[in-house]
Amino acid sequence: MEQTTSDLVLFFGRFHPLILHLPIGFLLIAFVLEILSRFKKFEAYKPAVGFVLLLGAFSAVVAAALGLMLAQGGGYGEELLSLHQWLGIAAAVTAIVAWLLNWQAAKQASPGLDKAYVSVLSVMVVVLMAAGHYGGSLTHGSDYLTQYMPNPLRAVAGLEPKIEKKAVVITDLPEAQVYHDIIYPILDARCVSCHNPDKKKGELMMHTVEALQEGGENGAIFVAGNTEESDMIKRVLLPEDHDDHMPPEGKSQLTDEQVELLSWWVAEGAPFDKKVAQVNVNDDIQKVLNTLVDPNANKTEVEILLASEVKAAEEQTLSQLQQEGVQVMPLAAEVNWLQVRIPLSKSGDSLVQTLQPVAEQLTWLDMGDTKTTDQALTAIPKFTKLTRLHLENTQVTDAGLQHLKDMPYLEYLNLYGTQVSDEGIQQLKGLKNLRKLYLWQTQATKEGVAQLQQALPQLEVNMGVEFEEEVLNTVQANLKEKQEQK
Amino acid sequence: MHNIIEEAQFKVATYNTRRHFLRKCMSGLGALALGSLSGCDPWSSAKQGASSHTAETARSLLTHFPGKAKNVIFLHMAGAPSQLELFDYKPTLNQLDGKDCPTSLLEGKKFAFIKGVPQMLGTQAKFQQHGQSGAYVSDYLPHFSKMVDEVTFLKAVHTDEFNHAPAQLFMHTGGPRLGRPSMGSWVSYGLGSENQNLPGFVVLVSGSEPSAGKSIWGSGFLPTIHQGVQCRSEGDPVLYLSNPGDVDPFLRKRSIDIINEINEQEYIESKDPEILTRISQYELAFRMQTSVPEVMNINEEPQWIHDMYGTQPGKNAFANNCLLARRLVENGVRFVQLFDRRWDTHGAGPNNGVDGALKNACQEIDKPMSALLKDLKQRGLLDETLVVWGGEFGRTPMMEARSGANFKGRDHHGDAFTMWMAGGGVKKGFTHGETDEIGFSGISGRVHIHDLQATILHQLGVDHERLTYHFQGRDFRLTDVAGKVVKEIIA
Repeated sequence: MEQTTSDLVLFFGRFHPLILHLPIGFLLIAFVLEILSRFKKFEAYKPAVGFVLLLGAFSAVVAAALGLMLAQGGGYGEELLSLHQWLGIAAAVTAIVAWLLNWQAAKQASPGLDKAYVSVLSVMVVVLMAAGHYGGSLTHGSDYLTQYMPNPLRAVAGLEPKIEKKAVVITDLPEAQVYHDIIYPILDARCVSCHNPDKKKGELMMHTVEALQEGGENGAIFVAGNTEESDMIKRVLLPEDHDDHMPPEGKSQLTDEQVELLSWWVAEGAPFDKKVAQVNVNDDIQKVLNTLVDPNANKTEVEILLASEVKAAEEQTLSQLQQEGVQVMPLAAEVNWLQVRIPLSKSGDSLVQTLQPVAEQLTWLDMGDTKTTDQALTAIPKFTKLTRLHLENTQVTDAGLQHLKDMPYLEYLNLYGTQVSDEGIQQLKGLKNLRKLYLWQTQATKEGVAQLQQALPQLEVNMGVEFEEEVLNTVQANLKEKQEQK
Repeated sequence: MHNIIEEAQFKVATYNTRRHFLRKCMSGLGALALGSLSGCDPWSSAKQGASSHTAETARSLLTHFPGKAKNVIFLHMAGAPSQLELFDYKPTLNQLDGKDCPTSLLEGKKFAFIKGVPQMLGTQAKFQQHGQSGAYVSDYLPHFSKMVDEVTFLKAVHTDEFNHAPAQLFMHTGGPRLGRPSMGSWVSYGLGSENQNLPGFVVLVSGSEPSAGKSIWGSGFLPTIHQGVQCRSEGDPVLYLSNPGDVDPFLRKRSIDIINEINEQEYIESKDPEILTRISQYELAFRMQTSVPEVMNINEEPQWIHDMYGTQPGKNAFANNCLLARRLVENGVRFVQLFDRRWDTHGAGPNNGVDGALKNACQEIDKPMSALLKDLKQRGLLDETLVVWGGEFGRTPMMEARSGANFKGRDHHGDAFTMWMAGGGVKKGFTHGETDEIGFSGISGRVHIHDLQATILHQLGVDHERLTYHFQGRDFRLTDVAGKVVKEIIA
């Protein structure tokens, strides 16, 4: 039988979290006033207790009623909910009883009545605390309070010592369990906090394989082998501000890589017992999987270098450099790596020597369009972290390039408009990180470049428009041929 | 009662002295003409002869993270070219040519001119795949089709506006109404200029001025020094910059020095920061007197460069502006904005359709924009310069037939259109997004204008959510309260 709850009930139900703090406050203050009023100094509080108790009892009834309405909406673990519900009702009832007794006691004081009153009041406080605690557990999860509890205290409370939740590092990728080692950690980090036995949002639990297979109020959340029919995948792919998007707007979101992994798992038939080696892995997924073994797997050495920390150059050094006419600034805010530019009107020959104190941080150096000669390059080998070097339209020659031959991280080198030739560029063969080289308007030839590229297959060389046209024409011819063959 | 109001007005009038009046006039006009950025020069302490005030107005101009691009060249085809004749190849649409548009497509849609049930209009161009990436480009763009392997196509861009001026404002300021700063102003505000002698945001216009007017390169509520400076490719590059007839440079320098001295005294009295802006604007304007004509003089380029771009020195032409864009970027201008207005192809009369007129328009841009990419590339500038191309929206797959005659025109269409980007750390030879079989709506990889703006800022190393300016009680940003970086296209 399908039971529907009217919107009005749910609407009022949502006010439960707003109202419930009133009885907690009122009833606790009533208790405190009652105790204080028993001391001579605070006797004057006595008459207030009854009034505050009445307020507390009334708001407790309202809160309990609203709570019952909220529970109609579902999405909470039954056991915990029923505990909270009955404790809440008990708190309201004991509050009413306490008020009645207080009222009676005010009319005709008797020791028996007072004893009953005090015990009911005490029980009320305990029940109230318990109701509040389990309510909190319903909303925030049952381990909310103890999550960050220090281990000695945990021992006292009879809890297991805290286990550091580390990101699962996979060492042997082909042997890794697809679900257990890759998929579940994602679900555990992003989904389970709302989909567990305590807090079954959408009647869905995701903490065990069985629960995941069972689905929620809308039925199964995935169709093995079919991502397009899988509710779970559809929802994570919706725009974040969409009502059905998961995780809900404002909560920590899945990364693109995690979404890719979930889709892959569903597409591969949502296996629970297979190893990575037993399912299909395409290149894109392989790349993502590689990051599980090594977070830096898809990064170049230069990217890893620039992502690493370097100690900041001293302020004084920087301002001194500025004064000497060197333009120096960090790559970005809160980054200590430095970029340096030699002003157009100057020569790098003398200024480059002044950069010694920042040799550790210097990574981009621009001497392009200046009167720099080979002499400036003699200082370069000391700048071991250099990744980009602009020397375009300078007077550097083959002789200068020998100083660059051991630069471990040099990735970008612009030599257009210089006197370098085939002979000179062969000295760059050892630059294993070099990816871009500009040689337009130099004496370098296609043959020389081809020779260099043999040693550095990943190197992209630009020799100018004329050369590009030639390459493009061959590419176009090849494409045409292919099309004609079809 | 009457007397009180009169007295108040009198008080206001006496309070506003001649100096106040002059100052108000100047900060408007002066900013338009000079638009200096020297106060925001990241290298400020290194430059020679810089005013000490420049340092005072300088802010920290560090990017949020290391950016892939240092400069942006935005080629805006004002009037909105048809994606269906240039990049978005739809064979199915050709089969439907001349048939009535299904009414289900028209439900709830707003068009600028289409009334009733229009007919579908097949593409007027011939398409072919190009390059290693196999991207489709039509025969309208023979030169550009050789460049597809440098380019990322965004096939499913969409905007909220369907008329030119609001859509242009939306593209450049993030809002369809007047008053917000343009993208170039935000970039100048966020990153400053690399060259102390040039403004950080330069605008070049060919054809006629875009319909949204000069507001699309305005600085809105940002300080006026961030306004785009329009340079002209014929006559004086910047109006009112050269010395008046009998004034020699020495006299000019002397008078600026004296004006600045007076301004400095005024600053000491009033501590109004706008005075510092004025001082640095005077100084920049003086420096621009030599640097701007130098950069803007394309005569010194070798003949083969002119042949490559198809430039004709002294003309107002898109080709000249492309070459100028390269020269400006080479000289450290952060944001170069080109507008070319000739693309509104409604087919409302002869020579206004997506057949002949669009093809002619393409001839104006094809060679120069392809040359720009090649030229930037061989200089190593394309790595750090993001080139963006597009109109303010696209065109409908339906024929507009406003005048009833068969002039093969298309109406405004904001739901799906093509833009492309190149350089500046975006993928090469890549296509993002796809439209349906007739190119009416995006079915995957949709990119909203705010996403585009977020992506452009991201490539410059700027987080669009953190580049904000407090105005009228709240923080504003280019992307309003939306925008998501299109990560898929980042190399």
